[in-house]
Amino acid sequence: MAQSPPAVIYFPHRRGRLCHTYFPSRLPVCLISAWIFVCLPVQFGRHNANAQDNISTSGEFTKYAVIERNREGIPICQVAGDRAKKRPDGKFEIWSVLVNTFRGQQVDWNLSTPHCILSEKVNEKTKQTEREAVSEADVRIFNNKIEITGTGFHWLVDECQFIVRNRVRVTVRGGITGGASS
Amino acid sequence: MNCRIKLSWQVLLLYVFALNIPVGISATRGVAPLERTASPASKSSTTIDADVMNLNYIDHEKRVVTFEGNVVAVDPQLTLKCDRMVVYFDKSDEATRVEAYDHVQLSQQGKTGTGDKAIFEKATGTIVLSGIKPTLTDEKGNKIVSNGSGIIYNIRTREMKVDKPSMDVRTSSDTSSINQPFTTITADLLNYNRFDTEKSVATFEGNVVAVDPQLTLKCRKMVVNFDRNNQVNRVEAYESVRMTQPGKEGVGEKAVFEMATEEIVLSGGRPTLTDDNGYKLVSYGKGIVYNTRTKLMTADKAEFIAPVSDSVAPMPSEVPK
Repeated sequence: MAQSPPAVIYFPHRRGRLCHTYFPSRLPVCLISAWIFVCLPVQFGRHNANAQDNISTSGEFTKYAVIERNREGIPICQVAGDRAKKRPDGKFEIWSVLVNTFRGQQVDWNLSTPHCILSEKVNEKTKQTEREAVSEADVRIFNNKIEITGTGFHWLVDECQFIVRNRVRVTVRGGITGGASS
Repeated sequence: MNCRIKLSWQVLLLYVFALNIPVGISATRGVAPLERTASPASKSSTTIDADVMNLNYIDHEKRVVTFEGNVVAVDPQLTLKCDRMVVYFDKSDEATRVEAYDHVQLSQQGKTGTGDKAIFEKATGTIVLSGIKPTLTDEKGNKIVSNGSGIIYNIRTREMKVDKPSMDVRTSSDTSSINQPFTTITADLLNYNRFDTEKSVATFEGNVVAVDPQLTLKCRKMVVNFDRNNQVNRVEAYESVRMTQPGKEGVGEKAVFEMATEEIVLSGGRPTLTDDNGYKLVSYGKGIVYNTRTKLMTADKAEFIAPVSDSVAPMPSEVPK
């Protein structure tokens, strides 16, 4: 059986060939290469987008994701959901929500909830736009040390506050007083 | 060669999937949390239940979490209930300070503390219970009330300080009845040490007054020793000791009450007993011993002094041996 010449993939940071293969393997290589060089930048780029690329004709977004950065480009928070819809009143309704707040470049708090409504309004006193998310659904807010669960929450985005309104349970790993009882 | 090719494929696939795992999550969840955490629940955890919680994370160096309504905090060391609680965390999310307000109730191994306010400082390991008459009660009903600034308890050293204390303790050896009378001790300051599970000591200082069903004792310093069951087994009174019963008064520099023998030994500085009729009993020896059960009194190297009067006064009801 005649063999086709080997396909070669070069990587700029490496000298020489990374691998050799034959024609039957070219297709997956091409697919993977396309994934790396085309899909990755698109998906990463979506973090800074307003999820416009997934808008449907009904005004619904799928795979909604928004990241907010400060002037230095440091992330402040990101909001994502499996599905989002802009309501006539201008508020965003999001389902399967995952929120991350950041401290520096690291994730500070994680929030997950089945549903919330994200909105913004102008504060009459400060004339600043204030954003908030509210929900009546169950919520879980957590990081490495602290886990908060409850029902119904209010996230004041600009004031950096989470308010859980019902059946709050907070677990502090390692204990507040510092260890097991003697 | 084939092996090398397969290996290279695996490396390439690994490289690709390693790059795409977070993006894969992004595709399904919309966002990739950079930090995944385990559930923090464990035996050494603190659990706080409340109606409402407010978490403020604006300050990266200090977090403030406020709880309101039916707050119950269960910690390995103690349980706290109150109406409102504020917990401060540092940048490592370690709790540094806890403030509890309104209807505060602390409980630990059968002991309960109540007050209007409790402040816990992790750096010092102290809890300050304050407000209107903060109170500690143990499982036997012994009670300590602060009539001053409050009660300070160190959870590490198990040392407790009470400002202007009033302590109700049962000094009877009969522990079966809960209706036993209390001895109430008041002072300027109480220092309570629980050295181990076998022994604890309460030291009262300044204007000490102990009111017992049988007598009243005043002194400058009093040390009350408790056994493992929080039962008083020895009381020592020092400096300007003055014991009074209806119609009698004993004065000395030291008084020791032993629960086992139910005897009070008044000693130091020529212990003296005086009755209302002016009869005096002075001990020049080891002191005067009074048995609270048999009411018998003995005095070592004693002198009995009758009052100088024209009229004949009746003899004291209890003549020393």
